[in-house]
Amino acid sequence: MRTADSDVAVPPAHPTHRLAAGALAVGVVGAGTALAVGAFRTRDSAEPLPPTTRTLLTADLPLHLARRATYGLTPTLLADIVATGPSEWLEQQLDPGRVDDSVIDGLLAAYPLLTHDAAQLQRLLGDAADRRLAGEQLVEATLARQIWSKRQLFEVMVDFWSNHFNVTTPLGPTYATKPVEDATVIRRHALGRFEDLLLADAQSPAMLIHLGNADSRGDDPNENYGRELLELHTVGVDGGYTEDDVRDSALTLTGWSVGQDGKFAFDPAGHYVGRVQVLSWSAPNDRAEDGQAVGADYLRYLARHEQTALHLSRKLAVRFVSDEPPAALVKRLAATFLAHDTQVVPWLRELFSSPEFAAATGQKVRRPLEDIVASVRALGIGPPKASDTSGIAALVGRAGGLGQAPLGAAPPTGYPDVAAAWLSSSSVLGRWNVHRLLTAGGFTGLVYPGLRALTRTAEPRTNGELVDRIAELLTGQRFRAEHRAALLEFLVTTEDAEYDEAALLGQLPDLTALVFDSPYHLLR
Amino acid sequence: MSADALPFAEAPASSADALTAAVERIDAEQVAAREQWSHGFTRRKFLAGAGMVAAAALGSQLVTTRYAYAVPGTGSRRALVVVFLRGGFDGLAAVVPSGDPAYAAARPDIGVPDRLLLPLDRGFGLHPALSPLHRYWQAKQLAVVHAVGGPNISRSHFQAQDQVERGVDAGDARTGWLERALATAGPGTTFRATAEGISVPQSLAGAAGAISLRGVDSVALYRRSERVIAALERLYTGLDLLAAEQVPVALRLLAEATDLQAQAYTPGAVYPAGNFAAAMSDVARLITSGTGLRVATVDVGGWDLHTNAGAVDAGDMTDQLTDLGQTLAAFAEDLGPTLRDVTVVTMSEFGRRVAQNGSGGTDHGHGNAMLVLGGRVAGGRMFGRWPGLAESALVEGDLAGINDYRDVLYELAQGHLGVGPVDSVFPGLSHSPLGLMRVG
Repeated sequence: MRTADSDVAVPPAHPTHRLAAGALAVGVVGAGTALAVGAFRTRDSAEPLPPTTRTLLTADLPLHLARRATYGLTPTLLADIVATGPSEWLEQQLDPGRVDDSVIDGLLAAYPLLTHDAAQLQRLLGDAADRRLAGEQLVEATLARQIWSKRQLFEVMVDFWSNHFNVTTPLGPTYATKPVEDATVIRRHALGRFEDLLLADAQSPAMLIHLGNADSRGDDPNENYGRELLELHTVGVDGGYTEDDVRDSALTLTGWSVGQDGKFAFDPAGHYVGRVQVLSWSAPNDRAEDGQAVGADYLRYLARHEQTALHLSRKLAVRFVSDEPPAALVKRLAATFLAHDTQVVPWLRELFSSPEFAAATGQKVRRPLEDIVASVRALGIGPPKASDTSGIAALVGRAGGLGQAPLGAAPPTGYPDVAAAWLSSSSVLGRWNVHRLLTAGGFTGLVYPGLRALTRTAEPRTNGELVDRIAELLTGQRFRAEHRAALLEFLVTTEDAEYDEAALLGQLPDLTALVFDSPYHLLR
Repeated sequence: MSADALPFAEAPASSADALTAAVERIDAEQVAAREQWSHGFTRRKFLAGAGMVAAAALGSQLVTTRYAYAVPGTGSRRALVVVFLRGGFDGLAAVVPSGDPAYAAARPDIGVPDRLLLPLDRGFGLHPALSPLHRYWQAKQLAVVHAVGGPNISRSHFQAQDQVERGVDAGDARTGWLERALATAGPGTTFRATAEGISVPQSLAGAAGAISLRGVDSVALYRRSERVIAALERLYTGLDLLAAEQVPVALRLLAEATDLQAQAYTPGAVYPAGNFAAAMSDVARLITSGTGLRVATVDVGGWDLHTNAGAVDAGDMTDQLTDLGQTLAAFAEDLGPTLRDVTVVTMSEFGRRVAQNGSGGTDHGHGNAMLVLGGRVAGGRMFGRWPGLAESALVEGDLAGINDYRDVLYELAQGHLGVGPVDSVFPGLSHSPLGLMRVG
C-alpha cells in the first residue's frame, strides 16, 4: 500500500484492506446497490493531493463509506467493510436485523426506564423531583448506540429522523412520552416507509405535546404543530403554502390529542368541523367523528407530495453528500422516494450508488457530536459495565458543552447539518479539549484499550512509522508530508529515528489528540 | 403524484464507466462552484474584515499576531451589543398598550392588567417583571420602538431569523448585517466582533475574524504547550478549507484570553444566575478591559411560548422577562460611566399573535417591540408609529410591523461603528430616520 506522500511500501495496517486489482472502472455489484467504485483511486495509486476539501482525504470507497454511513472508524471497521465487500456490507447495514448487536443489548440494562410505556413512566416519575431522568436515560442510550452499535447506518438514520422530528430531550412535558416515541416511532420506522413514520409521529404523544397540538381545539387552535408539519416535516418552507394553509393544517388536526394514559387519543369534541384545504388537498370534514380519518388522509397526502420528496431528499443529500448537494441528485432521490412508496431503503440505495456520493469525499465537516463519537470509536474504547455509565453521562455533558447534546436541539428545526453553523473559535477549542480528555483516559468507566495497545497494533520500527500507523489507525489514511512533519516535529524527532516506546509513550496522548484535531478527522 | 412528474435532469448512471464520467463531471462542477463561492466572496470578506492577521493566515505562514488594544487611527471604544431573543419575543407582553380594550379582549388569561403596568409614554406600560429597567427609562437611557417589522418577514423561526440577521428583504446576500456594518468600519482587534456562545450567529456570517466564546475565563486548551500550538498551526497551514479558517482565530483568541485571565476582574454589579446574565457580564468585562470590542452578540432562548405563557404574576413569560430585565439592568450598572459608549438592542425574528391561543400561549406573529438601552440613547421615549390593535389594523391577526427594524439597527450602527451609506449595510433600504441616538 502506498499513500500520496510516501513511496515506501509498508505492510497494510488493515490486512485485507485493498480493492481487487483493476477495481477502477469496475462497479461492485452487490445484493442491490451498485457502488461507484470507479470513482475512487485504488489503494496503490500515488498521485499528489492538492490541499483542498476535495482531496485532502483519500478517495477510497470503503473509507468513504465508513466516514459517511457510520459514526466513524473503529480499529476493525475498515477491514470488515473490505472483507465483506462494500456493497454487501451496505446491504447488511440496510437490514439491521441481520447485524448482531448484543453489545448494545447488554448496555441497555443500564437504562431500565426505556422499557416502560408512558403510563408506567407517569406512575414511576410523575411525582419525582427530577422527571427528566427518563429523558436523560434516552439521551445516554442514544449516544451509547451511536458509539457502540454495529447497526451504524441505522443509528445514523435514527439520528436523521430524530432531528427531523425534533422533540427536545430531556424536557419536562415529554418526560414520559419521548422514550416511547424513540422506540415505537423513530426506531420502528427509521428504515421503513416515510408515510408510516409521518403518521406515527403525528400520533406520537411526545410530538403532540411538544408542539402543542395536544390541546389545540377547533374553537381555539394552537397552530404550532400544523405549521411545523408543513415547514419542517413535509413540504418545507418553500413548499408553496400560505398562512391560510397553516391555519387549515392546524384545524385539520384539532382533536389529535393525548389521553390520561399518555397514549394518543382522538377527541371528536375538540375537532374543528368544516371544509379544510391545504395546498391542493381538501376535505369536507363535516362530521367531528371523521376527524381522525380526515387527518390521516391529509398526512398521507403530505407524505407523498412532490415538495416533500424534494425537501427530504435535499436534507438526505446534505447529510450524506455535501452542504450544497447537486440539484440533479436531489431530483433523482425525490423521484426514487416517490416511485418506491416513500420507502427509505431504496432511497438510501439510490444515494449511495450515485456518482454525486462517490464524488463527495471529504466534503462534510463532522459536527461536534459526530467528532466526539468518532474519536471514541477510533480509539477502540469499549462500553462501560451497565453498573457504571458515568463515563457516558460525561460524554453527553461534553457534547452539550459543544452545543450538540444528543436529541437536545432546542428549536423545532433540530440541529443544522452544515459546517458553517458549527465552525467557530469556541467550537474549535472545545473539540480539541475533548480530544485531550479522551486520549488521556478522562472518562471513568469506559474501557480504554490504552494508547500503548494502539502502537502495538501498529508495530512501528521508526518514529516516522509510528506517526503513519497512528494516523492510519485513527483516520484511515496517512497524512500529507507537511502534516506528518508537523507531528514528528511535535515529538522532537525525525522519521528515521528508531521507535523507542519508553521514550515516546508519555507523548502519545498529545500525539493522538493532534491526529483528532487535524483536518483528517474534522472532515468526513 | 408519480415519479414521472418530476423533471429529470438526467437518468441514473448505469455502467461503471458512466459512473466514473459522471463523478468526474460532478466533481469539476462542485469544485467550480466552491471556487466561485470561496474566492469570489468569503475570501474577499475575510480579508476586508479581519485585516492583515487574516491575510497572513491565508499564506504559507499562519500567524498568531498579538492583538493591539487600540487600533491606531480609530481609538473608538464605542460598542454595540445585539441581544437576539430566539423563538419569537412577545413584544405585546413586554410593552403593553394600556387601556386598549382590544388587548384585554384578545388576552383574557395572559394579558397584563393596566394597574400593574409601569408607565412609559404615549399610553404604553412596561410589564412589571421588567421593573429593573424602568429607572433607565426614567433616566432617559432606555427607549422602545414598537410595531417593528420588516418586509416579507416569514412566520417560520429559522427563515425569519435568517432574514433579519442577514438584514435583507430578499435575494441571496450571504453576509450578516453586522458583518457588513463592521466591514465598512474597518479592521480591529481579535475581540472586535465577539459572539457569546458556542457558535457565531447569522448576523456575523461572512466575518471570518469574528470570535465566539462562552466567557473569557472558559477559553483554554488542556495540556497546552508551545509544541502543541506549533503543531496545530502547521496542521492547518495552507489549507483552503472553511474549517481551517477558524483555527488561526481560535489560536489568537487563546493567546489573548490567557492575558485577560491573568488580570484580576470583579464585575461592577450583581447579575442574576443563568446563561444570559453570564454572557452579558462577560461582554461588560471585555468592553471595560479595553479589548477593542465593537460588536457583541448574545442569544437568549426560550421565547417560543405557544403553551402556558402564564399570567402576569407567575409563569414562563414572567420568568423570561424577569431574567431579561434584571440582566440588562445589571449590565448597565456594571458598565457605569462606560455606558456612555455602549448601546444594547434587543431583537427577535418576529412578534407573537395579538390573541392568545387555545393553550394559554401565543402563536407566531409579526410586529414586535425592540428595547434600546445605552448612555447616548435618546431614551424615555416610545419611537415609531403605532398602528393599534383594532381588528382593521391587524395583519392576519398580528400587530402590523410598520416600523422597519433595519431603520433601528442602521442608526445604532451609525452611532457606534460610524458606518457608511445605508446601502452598504442594508441594501435597498429607504432609511426613515428615527432619531434614536443623541448627537455627540
